[in-house]
Amino acid sequence: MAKLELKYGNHACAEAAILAGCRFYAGYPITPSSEIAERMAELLPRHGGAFIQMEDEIASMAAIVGASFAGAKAMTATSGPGFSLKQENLGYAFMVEAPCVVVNVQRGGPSTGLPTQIGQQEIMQSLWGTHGDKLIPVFYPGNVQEIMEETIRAFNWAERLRTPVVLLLDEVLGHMRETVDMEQFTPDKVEIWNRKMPDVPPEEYLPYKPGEDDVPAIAPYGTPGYRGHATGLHHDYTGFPTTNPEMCEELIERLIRKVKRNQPEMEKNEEYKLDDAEVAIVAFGTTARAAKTAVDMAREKGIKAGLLRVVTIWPSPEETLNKLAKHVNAILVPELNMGQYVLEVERCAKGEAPVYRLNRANGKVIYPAEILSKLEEIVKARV
Amino acid sequence: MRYEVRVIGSAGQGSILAAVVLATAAAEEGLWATQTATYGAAMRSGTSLGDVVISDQPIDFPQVTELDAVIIQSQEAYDEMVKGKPVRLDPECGENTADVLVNVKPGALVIVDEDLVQCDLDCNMYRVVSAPIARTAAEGLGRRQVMNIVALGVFQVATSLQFDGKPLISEESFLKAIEKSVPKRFIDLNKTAFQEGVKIGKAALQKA
Repeated sequence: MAKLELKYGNHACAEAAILAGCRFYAGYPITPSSEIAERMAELLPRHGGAFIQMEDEIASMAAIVGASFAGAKAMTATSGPGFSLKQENLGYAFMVEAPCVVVNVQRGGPSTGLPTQIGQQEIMQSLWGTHGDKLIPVFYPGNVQEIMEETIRAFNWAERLRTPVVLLLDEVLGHMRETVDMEQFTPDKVEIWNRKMPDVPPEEYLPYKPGEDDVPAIAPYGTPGYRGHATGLHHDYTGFPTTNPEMCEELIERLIRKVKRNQPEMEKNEEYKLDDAEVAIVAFGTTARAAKTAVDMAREKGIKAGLLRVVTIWPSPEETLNKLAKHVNAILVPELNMGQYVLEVERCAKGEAPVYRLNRANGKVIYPAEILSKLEEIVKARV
Repeated sequence: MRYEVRVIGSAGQGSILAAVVLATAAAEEGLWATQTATYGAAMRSGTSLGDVVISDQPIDFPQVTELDAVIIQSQEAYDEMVKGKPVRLDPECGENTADVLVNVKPGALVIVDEDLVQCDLDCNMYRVVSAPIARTAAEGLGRRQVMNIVALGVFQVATSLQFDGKPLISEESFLKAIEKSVPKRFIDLNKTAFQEGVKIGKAALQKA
């Protein structure tokens, strides 16, 4: 029996973070993400946690890395301009392996752009925004119910792999109220993962020595006897800097491998009417919702359309996208940017099917009818 | 079933709160709902609107495109939507695209304030329900601010025109939604406002 409750998107994110065990939030308010901070400020003290408004986004990101190293599950939320500021410390979190969740409620960019309107322009930045090679899990829910699911999943993967995880939302999702079936979010039903702790005595403890899963067991700072050092410089098992090429190679390869090897388990998509589809739409977030309606409209007109809604944006579902390209005559990628994820879809399609674009970056959503016209155009061109 | 509603009015008339209460009532009724609004402060001037989509199953596209009902709270809002065209709805849309993106279905409910809105819509095309909403709030309840909730009462009754004599959402669900959505000290006032709205809604339907 569904237990429906109307929830505001940004509040759902905050409430799910608490469910996932988040006990520290540092942030600097920015539209359209501010309500996440507001709700966390309200909830954290009640749950024995701490909320702090920092002087800016750079400091906020630094603060959650610190909290994470002290053992807390930590989160920050922001939007475009703030996400840019967080990039340096996001890279630091990746390098020192600090589990944390960074929420980006996307608005129109570049720069201050369109503060109160929707965008999907940080698809690439969420992975490549900070310098250096890396692989950061990026999840993008499509409705308010899923905001809760994905927030919890983001914390779980962050803990399990000791990595920052980026949760992408968009202005429409964040500022929308929607019914959520709360049945699955009772504390006994929510699966929670926690980071592993060292299983060796203090004298054998090496904070950055990875386990077989490529993840090190780093003790929270302040654990008696377990002393640690963290640096953004390349480091050896002790955590102290090294320029030893073998050690540096091992580190960078492991940091990427620990995420990459879990791609199959991390992959999450919704497939809609793809079985007999001749043209497929690949979409995410709010745009995917318009796409789903467009699929139904197209089917009524005799166009065999289907939808692959990608939830785990990075690491991308390479195999799934390649199989999809072999299975259909054409792929359409509608997104609220000038063409970002389409590049990844093209790469994965490997020429098996032509990939079309539908782009917009003016603060407006893409409506179902517009996707339908594009589908009709594609079908016409292919006959 | 997909049912779309827009509440539109002048700044400060509580159109967005009305949309929130409506969506909450739908959830109380066991229906799925999404509620969106133009974001930004319109407390002193301009129009503001709140949209609700209600369905018996999870909702795909969360914004409105084909309205089944419109609640219009002021002349300014009416003019913005209706003047010169059968419909023009999203104030942010350009003239060229407005009608393509958001439409009012023939047979849709159009709820207007009897005193505040000069309504000249084709009654054969829409189910126009006109009631003294603001007057009931101001004179009957002494608080003009609750006209948005009075309007919801009228809407609750009027949906019976579209669903074979039975309203889409029960009075009980609306009352529970009010309890959840307004500050404690205003719950009773808003509940009374809703019930008064139901009364004048029934009277308006009889008159029509």
